[in-house]
Amino acid sequence: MKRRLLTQIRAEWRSNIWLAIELTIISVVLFYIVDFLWVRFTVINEPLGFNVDHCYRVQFATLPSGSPEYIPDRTAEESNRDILTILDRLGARPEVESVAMGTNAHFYNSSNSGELLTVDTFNTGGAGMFLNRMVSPDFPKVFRIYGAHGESPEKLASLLENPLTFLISDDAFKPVYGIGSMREFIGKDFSTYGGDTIRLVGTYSPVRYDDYVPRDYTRSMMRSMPKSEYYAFNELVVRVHDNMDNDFAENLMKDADSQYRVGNYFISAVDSFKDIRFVHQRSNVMVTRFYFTGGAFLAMNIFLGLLGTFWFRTRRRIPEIAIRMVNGATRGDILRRVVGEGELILLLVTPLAIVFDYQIVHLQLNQPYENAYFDPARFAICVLLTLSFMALMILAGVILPAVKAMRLQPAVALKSE
Amino acid sequence: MKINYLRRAWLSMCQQPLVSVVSVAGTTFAIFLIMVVVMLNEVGIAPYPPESNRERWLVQRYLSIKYKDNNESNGCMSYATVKAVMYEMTTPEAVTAFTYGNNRVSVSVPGSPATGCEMRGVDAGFWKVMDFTFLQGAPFTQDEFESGVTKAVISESMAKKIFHSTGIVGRDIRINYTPYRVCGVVKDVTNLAPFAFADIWVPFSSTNSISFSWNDYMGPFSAIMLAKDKKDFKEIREEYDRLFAKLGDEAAINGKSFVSRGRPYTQKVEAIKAGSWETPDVRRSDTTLWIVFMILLIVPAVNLSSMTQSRLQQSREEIGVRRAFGTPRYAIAIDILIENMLVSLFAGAIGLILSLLFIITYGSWFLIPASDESLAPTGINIGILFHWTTFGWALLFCFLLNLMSSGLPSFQAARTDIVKALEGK
Repeated sequence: MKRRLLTQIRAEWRSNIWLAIELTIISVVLFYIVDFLWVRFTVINEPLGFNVDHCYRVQFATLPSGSPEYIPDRTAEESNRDILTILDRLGARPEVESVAMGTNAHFYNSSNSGELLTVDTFNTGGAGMFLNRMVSPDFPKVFRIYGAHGESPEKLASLLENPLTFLISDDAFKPVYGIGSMREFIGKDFSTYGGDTIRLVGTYSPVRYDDYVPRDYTRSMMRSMPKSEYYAFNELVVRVHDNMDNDFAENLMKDADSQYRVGNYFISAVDSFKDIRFVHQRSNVMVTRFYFTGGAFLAMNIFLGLLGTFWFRTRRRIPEIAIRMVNGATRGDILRRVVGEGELILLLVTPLAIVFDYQIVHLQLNQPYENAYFDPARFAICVLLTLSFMALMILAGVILPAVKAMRLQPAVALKSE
Repeated sequence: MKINYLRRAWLSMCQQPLVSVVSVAGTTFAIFLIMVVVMLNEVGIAPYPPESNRERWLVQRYLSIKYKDNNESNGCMSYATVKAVMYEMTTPEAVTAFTYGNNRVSVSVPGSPATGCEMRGVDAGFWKVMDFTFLQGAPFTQDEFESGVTKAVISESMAKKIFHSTGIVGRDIRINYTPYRVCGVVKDVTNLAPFAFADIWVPFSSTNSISFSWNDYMGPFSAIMLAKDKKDFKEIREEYDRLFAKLGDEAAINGKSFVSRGRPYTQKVEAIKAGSWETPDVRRSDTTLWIVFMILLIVPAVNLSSMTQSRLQQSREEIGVRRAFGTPRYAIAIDILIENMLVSLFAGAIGLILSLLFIITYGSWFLIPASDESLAPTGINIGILFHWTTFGWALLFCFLLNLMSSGLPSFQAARTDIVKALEGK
């Protein structure tokens, strides 16, 4: 049957060559899209290592000097007392579970601070950004960050109390030295880029940067500041009890004037992390939508192209189909033959398409995942997914003409002959 | 021979209804998607209120400074730089400096809780460069700007949110606990307009931003120079270079030099959104866009070409008859091309309308507000999306698609051998 189909395809080479060109182009572009989306969804489904449900960012600022309420010559000590008062008052709200501060520390944040830590002959450089999250001790409680060996967020918070100690993500030395756990370094003194010496007191499970940055960019540390320097923090975050965050932001803003106008500080806005996450990632979401739309466009073209071409083809072949039926071909045979022709053209162009697919990967035009552009398993999965999807679209395009051919009445079709 | 192309195209479509629907759908879908890409791209480039003068302006969003040790600082400008260069310019019709990133501020009136909104610090020139529609009042003047008056222009929706009315000129509000007086209410601005968008606009001379700077030259300000005519761009650039060279002499004493990176940019270059540390690569951006267009054109063109060829196979006898009666080959090819062009134009018009409806309804799926924080809807409308250039693009792509999908089949059909065609072979 296959040989006869090949002969038939060869006989109509002029029209089939167009189909073959179209299917090759679509197959290559679709492979690129499938590969991109495969990487995207693999990354999105990796564990985040933190939780932002019921979390809010409280934006605070200092009064401009032109404000009648501005207190000139406020000392650092007084400013720190003011910020601690705000922190205490926030923590005392019945809805609030925990409250923390930080500098460029919260998740879904475009501002970062880096650090280079050195211990013995090891350091944290050489594998992209190593993030330094300067935070107050309750930061792990707010974002529910767990220790690498199951330690609770509360335990991590207690380890962060001493500003001369710090916590590190368990994968800190993994990319460069292949060291999978930082446990053996606990208790050792590390040097910072600025020359400080700080002691590692615990490790935590890697926390992602956001939903779209892969887990190989998770290396980070958390370190607290002395309580006398909290005025230097630029972020204030809270976690609200699971069942108590109805209208939390609105209620807090209502109290902003009466309770949180302290010294020169005031609260300017309260944002939920649901919104912060949305805003931070909207360009990534948009790009994903573009790729989906591109895939849908190609699929629609396969469908329309096959439908149009095979509609003509079956019309022209009515006498031939009728003769086949008269000679004993079942309706199923006719259906299989028409569908098989479309699928066989796809199969014939596949080797060429795979060569082009490989070129895309070889030239590193696709997305890297875990620092690799080519992974045999990933390549095979994406090629198979592309082919399966195209085969489905071909089936959808060919099925209408095929059913039409199948329902042909041989006697009526051959009457004119 | 006069041919009624419209009638022929219609009859041809009626002969093969399903294939005609498939052809029209293929063209419609292709033009739809191409026009979506064109319009999304145009949102960053084409003029619309209040950024109506985009075609006549040059943008200085960032400044770059190089130090003796080859390190660089990249960012916005300080007020001192704005004064030394931007405000010294005489060639442009108007110059404005403004805070590039909006500030999230607390706005309140006595007796009501504070609301977080986006505020932009601007100068008096801002109102000449931008094209705001004032519903009430007027902007602050140059004298008021220079004296640091605490006046504010507020958007219509923010006025309604805070005061439940738009007739609020002369009323007092508190911005970050500082009293301001409302001097004007303007029509809402789409958050897609990177330089104009805000909820409240105040003279930056009334805020701390005027004194905020580092490295003497860097600060929170960007600037736009509005030319009287596009032809003046060269002259404006020369004056700009001259003034920066003068400032550069002063900077050189402290071991600093300015890195131009081809600034100031036209809106088209600015829309590439290059980082402050990089020079926009116009060629790369254009190439990427055209690769997308080519994929969106080639795939349906191959598709339609295959169908056109099948359709022409059925008209072989007719082509044979016309050739036998002396119609030249080129006339046959042109007839087929025109006939298909009419179908392409019809389908293209549907595609264009669908793309407009799609972006107006689902534009926020694909458009990112220029403001980092804004959660408000983009406020996209037909005035922002549709320009005569958009129509021109649609026509061009219809023509290209038609040429690509019918060119070869029409050429092949015109070369039909008369005897074989009449025999029906």
